[in-house]
Amino acid sequence: MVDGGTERRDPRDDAALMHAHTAGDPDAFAEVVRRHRDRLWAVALRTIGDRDEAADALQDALLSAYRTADRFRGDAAVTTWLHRIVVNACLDRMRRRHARPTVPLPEVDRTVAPSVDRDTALVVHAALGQLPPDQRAALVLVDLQGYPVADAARVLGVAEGTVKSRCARGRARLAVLLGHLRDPDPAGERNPVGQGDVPSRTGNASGATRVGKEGGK
Amino acid sequence: MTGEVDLDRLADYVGGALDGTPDQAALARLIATDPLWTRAHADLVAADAGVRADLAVLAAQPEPLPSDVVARLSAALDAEPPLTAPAPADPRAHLSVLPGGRATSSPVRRRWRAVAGVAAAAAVLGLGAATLAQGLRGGGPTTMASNSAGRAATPSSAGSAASLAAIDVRTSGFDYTPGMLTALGASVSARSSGSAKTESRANTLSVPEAAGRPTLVPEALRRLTDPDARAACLQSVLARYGGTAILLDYARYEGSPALVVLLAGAGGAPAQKWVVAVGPNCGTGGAITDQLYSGSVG
Repeated sequence: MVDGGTERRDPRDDAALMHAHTAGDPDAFAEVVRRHRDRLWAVALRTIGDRDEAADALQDALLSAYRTADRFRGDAAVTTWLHRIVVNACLDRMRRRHARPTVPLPEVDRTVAPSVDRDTALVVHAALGQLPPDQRAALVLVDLQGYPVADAARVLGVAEGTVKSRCARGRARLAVLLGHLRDPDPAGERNPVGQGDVPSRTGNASGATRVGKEGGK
Repeated sequence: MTGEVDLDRLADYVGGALDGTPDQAALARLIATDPLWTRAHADLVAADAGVRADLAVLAAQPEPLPSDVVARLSAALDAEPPLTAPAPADPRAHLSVLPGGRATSSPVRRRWRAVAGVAAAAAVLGLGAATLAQGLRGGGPTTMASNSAGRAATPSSAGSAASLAAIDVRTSGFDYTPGMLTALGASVSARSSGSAKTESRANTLSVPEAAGRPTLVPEALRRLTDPDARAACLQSVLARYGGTAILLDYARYEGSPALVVLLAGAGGAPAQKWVVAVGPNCGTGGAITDQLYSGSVG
């Protein structure tokens, strides 16, 4: 059903297919999935960081979308709506398992330029797994999938400034994890991953510095 | 504010999250005047560029959905029932288009009214409704609207009134697009309301005239003029979408020979109209098999 790659392309746009699906067309939803499945899979895999968990999350999300399609009002793109459901399914799973990183950061000598991009990709993939879920989701949408901040904000249901803040703080944290920035908190006093939206890396217990709240207007 | 650098604030500043806020000016002042912040800012800007480059490498890695996950998703979705049950609420709705089917007078009258609406709307649109349906009891065609578009080139087998009763059969010669199919259905919907206003609105629909279009059944669709083949095709369409066929047009869809079928009461919803375009092999093996287009209307 979803894998009908050899079938004739359905000329209807996504919104028409969703309407047809809610009217009982048994093929319409599969066509929507066929069109967007690779991007949805990439978002799920990169957000949740684990192949099996990503498959579970994607299945949960698509079944939910299938069953609740009548709630799609057409005031957003179908892709935005689907991404929101997939990202939420991933975040739910990550929070349920307390967002513990499932992929250990590989030991890679960052003083030697990686000869193969795949090595860098693996390291970055693993480092993403160290980020708080909300930062990870924002980075995946904006920096990996290339969605405009405004679209990511709609998917995540937050303000654009919040998306910018999550991305910026996520990149700053990645900078430390990937060796681009000296760890300002080698004693590990920063907020543990998954606790709070934004961990502080100043680690100043005296209160001279503070854990910033999310930026955004 | 001097002293320790809050990297989260600094990251917000670098990432543009503070743009337009008072904190943006405050951070800019700190970076300009406090050496610690100045250095931290420079370090973070350089590191941010490095991270973006690393992320770009990961982003460039393709992540196609693995085939085993495709199969798993397909199985999960296939197991889901359609949102709207496809079976029609009134089983008699099938009768008029099934081989040898007989309908009671009441539903036939309802269909007749619907057919009249179809034909009138088509005339308004210049669609060229060549022939209204065959008479309910085998009488000759009742020409409801006939224009330059083409005359009643009813398929040769349409003499089987039992199988085509109350269905508007056309050979419009149109090469339909999705938009034209939607307009066709919309015209039916608009006309059904019976108001002058809707008729006027129908006039504004941008269905192109088809000057010089052929009026014969496309050769590739000859098979579907056979009563049995046509019945099998309609049966397969109705089995999937339900309702009653109220219009057939032996035409083309985006260049391909296509039988266009307009359904009323699809999915068991009396007000639901549905249009399907099928190719010459429709109905073979008991399935539609050759669907070119399917969409709801109205």
